[in-house]
Amino acid sequence: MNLEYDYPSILTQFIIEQNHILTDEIVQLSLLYRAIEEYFSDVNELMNFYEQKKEFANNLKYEDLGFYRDLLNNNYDKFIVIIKQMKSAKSIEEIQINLNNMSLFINHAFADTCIRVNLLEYLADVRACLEDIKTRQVALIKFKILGTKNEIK
Amino acid sequence: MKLNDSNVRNLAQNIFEHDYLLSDEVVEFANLRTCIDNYSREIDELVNFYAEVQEYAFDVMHGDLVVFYDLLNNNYAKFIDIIEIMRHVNSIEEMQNNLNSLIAFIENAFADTYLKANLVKYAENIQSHVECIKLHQTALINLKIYFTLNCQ
Repeated sequence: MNLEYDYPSILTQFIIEQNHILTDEIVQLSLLYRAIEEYFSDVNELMNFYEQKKEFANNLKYEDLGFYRDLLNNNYDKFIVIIKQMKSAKSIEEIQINLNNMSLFINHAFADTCIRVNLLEYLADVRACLEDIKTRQVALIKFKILGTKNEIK
Repeated sequence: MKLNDSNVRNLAQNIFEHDYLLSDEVVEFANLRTCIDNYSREIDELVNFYAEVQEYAFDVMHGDLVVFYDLLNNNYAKFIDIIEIMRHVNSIEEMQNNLNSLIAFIENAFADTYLKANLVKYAENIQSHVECIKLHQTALINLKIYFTLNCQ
């Protein structure tokens, strides 16, 4: 059984609306859905934080603060490319790879800056969601609801 | 005749109020007065500019921008010291020496910053007022009138 992203959402909604008795499987599906939602929410928060800082930097008054504006503007395109990849990941492996790419990018592009720490904090939240998704995936595989990677293929 | 700044101010004020015919001496006094006023005003503007930038730097002071506030804050005491001396000069020579000190300070403390250009611009304006004072000093000396400066 291969669950697409929307499927847990619809299933969970159905269960809630019909007030069905929750089986262990449904509980795990709900938790998976929540973890996936949280993942996308945290990716958005990371993106929003960057965009807020970029807007703030673009409105800075004195040219000596231009280094901050340039730092954020010059790295924005690459940042957004990785964000889009994170949003369109089709597997946990892809999520992991994109997360690692983002981590490398932040550490490289924002080396020796204070904002690097903020960005990595947001990324740590995303990583926590990934770990949660992995945990739910394992549980669902045990219930035979999610196939293993080979079975899905 | 020895005139201080207060005498010049009172004299100029008196001339304007009574619509006296302006002699060469009075014209020179009036011009001198204008130059001294401009000198003092330009110093005020420089101080205001520094304070304005410092306040802005404080408002945006977080993370990577702390360095800008530190730059302004760490140099503020020295800046104000020089400004206070510039406001209390007793001769044109002192005026020029203090101005040179200010320029040297700006060049050193704000090297490699954009802010340096703004601060130097104010210093250049002050320099032009000093030149103006020198010019009128010469004219007054030619008219056999001598004065001392007191910019307080």
